[in-house]
Amino acid sequence: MHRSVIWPVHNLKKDSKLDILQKSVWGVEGRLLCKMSNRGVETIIVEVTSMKRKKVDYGKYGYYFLIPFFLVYLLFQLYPLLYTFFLSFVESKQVNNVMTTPRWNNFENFVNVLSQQKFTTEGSTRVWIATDALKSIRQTLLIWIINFIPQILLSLLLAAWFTDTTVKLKGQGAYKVMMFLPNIITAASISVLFYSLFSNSGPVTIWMKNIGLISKSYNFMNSAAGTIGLIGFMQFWMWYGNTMIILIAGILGINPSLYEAAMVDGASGKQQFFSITLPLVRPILQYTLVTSAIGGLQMYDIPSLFNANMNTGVGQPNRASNTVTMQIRQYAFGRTPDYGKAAALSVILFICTLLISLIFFAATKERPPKQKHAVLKAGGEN
Amino acid sequence: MKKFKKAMALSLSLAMGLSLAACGSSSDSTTAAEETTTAATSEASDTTATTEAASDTDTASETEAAAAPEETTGNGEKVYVYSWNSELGGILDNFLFKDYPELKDVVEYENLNQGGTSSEYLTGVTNSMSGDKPASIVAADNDEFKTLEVQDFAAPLSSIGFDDSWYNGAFQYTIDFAKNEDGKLMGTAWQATPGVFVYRTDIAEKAGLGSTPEEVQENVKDWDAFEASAKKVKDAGYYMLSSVNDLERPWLDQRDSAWVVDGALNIDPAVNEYLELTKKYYDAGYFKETQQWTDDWNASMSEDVLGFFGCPWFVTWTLAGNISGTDAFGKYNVIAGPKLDKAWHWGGTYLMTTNKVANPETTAFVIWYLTCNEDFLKRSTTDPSTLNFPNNEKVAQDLADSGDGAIDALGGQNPVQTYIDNVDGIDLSLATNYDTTLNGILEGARDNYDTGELSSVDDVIAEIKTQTQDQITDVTVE
Repeated sequence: MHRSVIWPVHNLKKDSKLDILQKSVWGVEGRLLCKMSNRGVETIIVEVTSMKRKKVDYGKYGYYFLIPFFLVYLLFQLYPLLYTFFLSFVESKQVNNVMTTPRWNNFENFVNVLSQQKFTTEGSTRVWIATDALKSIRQTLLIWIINFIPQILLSLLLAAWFTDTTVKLKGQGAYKVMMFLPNIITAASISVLFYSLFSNSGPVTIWMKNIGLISKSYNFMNSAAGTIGLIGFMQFWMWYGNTMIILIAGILGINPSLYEAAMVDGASGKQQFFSITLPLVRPILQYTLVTSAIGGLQMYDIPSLFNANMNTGVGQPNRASNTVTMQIRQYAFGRTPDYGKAAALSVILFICTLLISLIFFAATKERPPKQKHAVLKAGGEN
Repeated sequence: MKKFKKAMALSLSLAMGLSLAACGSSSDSTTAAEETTTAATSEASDTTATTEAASDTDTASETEAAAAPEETTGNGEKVYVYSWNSELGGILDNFLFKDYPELKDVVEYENLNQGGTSSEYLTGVTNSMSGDKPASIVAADNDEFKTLEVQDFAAPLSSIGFDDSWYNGAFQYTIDFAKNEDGKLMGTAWQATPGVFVYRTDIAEKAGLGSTPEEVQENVKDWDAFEASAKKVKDAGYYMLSSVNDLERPWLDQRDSAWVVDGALNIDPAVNEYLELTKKYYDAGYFKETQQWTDDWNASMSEDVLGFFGCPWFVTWTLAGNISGTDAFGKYNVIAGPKLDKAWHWGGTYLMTTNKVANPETTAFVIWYLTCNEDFLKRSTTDPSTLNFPNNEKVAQDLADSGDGAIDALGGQNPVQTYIDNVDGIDLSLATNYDTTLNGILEGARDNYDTGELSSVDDVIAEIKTQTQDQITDVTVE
């Protein structure tokens, strides 16, 4: 392909002539055509005959730098993920102290998770859906809801206060740090701390009994509501600071001229919050909701250290604080490991997470605003 | 500047590489040196070992104990000792290595830092068998011993030249327990763990249970008396027991049949009795309702609880540790406790060997030293770092008679004779490798019964069956 470049003559030095192209830096070869006018050489047209430009391919270094990530991802994320799916369809469990070799057994693991042999005083029946495994999913969602609703409300309120330009809170940094602090402590410590405070002879329990807030015989550890309420509170307490910081960042991203315009129009703080802040911070809210749901479904550390049976690891009382991941661990690493069953429950957890995330995405999707007024069209086209 | 940076980077990387290389070569050279020195000693000891082996076979038919093994570094190969905490390592450091410094180079302690009854511990030991440091000696918790005993790596002690008769001085129940189905001795223990009752003298006096151990014992001599006393203690504003779990150990040893019989779940009538008893005590408010092994359970030892079902290690370590520095220190006494149909026990640690022992002679010597050597057992009873109740009848009796067993936390009481009396009749033949899990299932179901989630003992039994079916894949439930 021949390409022509128009070379303005003032770019040429007097003696340069052809060698300017021979020295060309970019490996461009071509010939010169002169355009003459009555004033002499006016323009030189360079006809490029070949463009053997040496390309320095910086793009490939990007890929080199990505290799470690992909290696780690393939080895420690993708492979276990696919292997879990494989395991959920095979029988792989310990029988008489020996692990069986994986044997394909279709959907039997899922059947074992979704149904369970329940014994009563009369005998035993196979129960569907009302199984311990599915109860663990229900309890996990319950704990997550107990923690998330107050968390998002308080975080929004605090974020709105901290970003309010008319209030201008003093010492904001100190407050933010204080509210974020619980997130820095490890979940294990918080769990143990709350256990000490709320156990039957813990100071808070005794104080509550003394002022008559709870009855003398009440024991948080023996009450399902007490235990999961406390676990929900711990999650809330740990994470509201974090959510608040994210929401503050989201609100600060909103164009301040919108607020200024609203103030000029005489909008109240409440109106500003509901008409400007809330609609515009929605993508951030969506992000918080989805990440919190994923994290909440995988809740493990706090409940497993708070009120769980020492020998079996089952969340007490009556499995109320037994979350899905705890149940998976009990299946996979209990007295008689059953990897197939654990993998099946993991897959069910995966599907649940996927469904819940999709529902949240759909529910918080931005819709085009409804037209409230007729739009006057310019000109009389009708 | 650029050149300087490059030079700097090069020199740094060289330095790192060289230091790595240096590490590698230096450790190589030390092991080489070790090999030469140990090779020399092993040649010397080989002769004694063979003569000993010959003498072992002579005495095997007799009931007399064979001659104790002599200290040896064997063939100089490493002996890896695996355990779950620093206790055994401390014993090696404070006794074995002080007595025989040359064993320091041969015996290596591996602390897995996992719960002794956790599946992680078993996994850790199993993984070691295919690694660089295959276990030669494995510490096994009483609850997990039956599980470890049937693992592929487990081997009878006779396979490393350990003469079973060395262990004759031990309390009989530890010998019976450690024998596998073929009657081979699979492990030995350095301490015995008879169950007793420890109580607060000041609370007993305030509750009117008497001021001497004899009087208090009379007030808790059986379950009827125990219950009557519990009521008195409650009326005086105290609790009889701390956690509901505290009753479990004594009661589970009252069973006449094991948890699992012929691969099927079996629930002994003693379990029903235990459930009814705990429910009765729970409703009456005799428990402080703490949970075993938590902070508030520990703290309750110096608060308002009359007593605990304990054992020697519980008294010297758990109790003494928790009450030291509090008013309760020195105010505890050990008594035999309620007279049960059977004596009971709590815990214990057994030393096992494996099928990948590189240095059998030294391994056998170390196990002998720790569990059969009367000299060590005697010293370990009074050494503040161990304070064992020795698993040796003769040493234990000496300790009781000499009065050396007095314990400060008990206000100078010497509990050893009570321990010895309570060893009589301990029977661990019902142990199965499902016990830890099944005890856990029992506890969960029992709590539901106590709090009213389950309304009858039959419901609890049904719940135990449901949970067993779900959690243990190779036990049938009918």
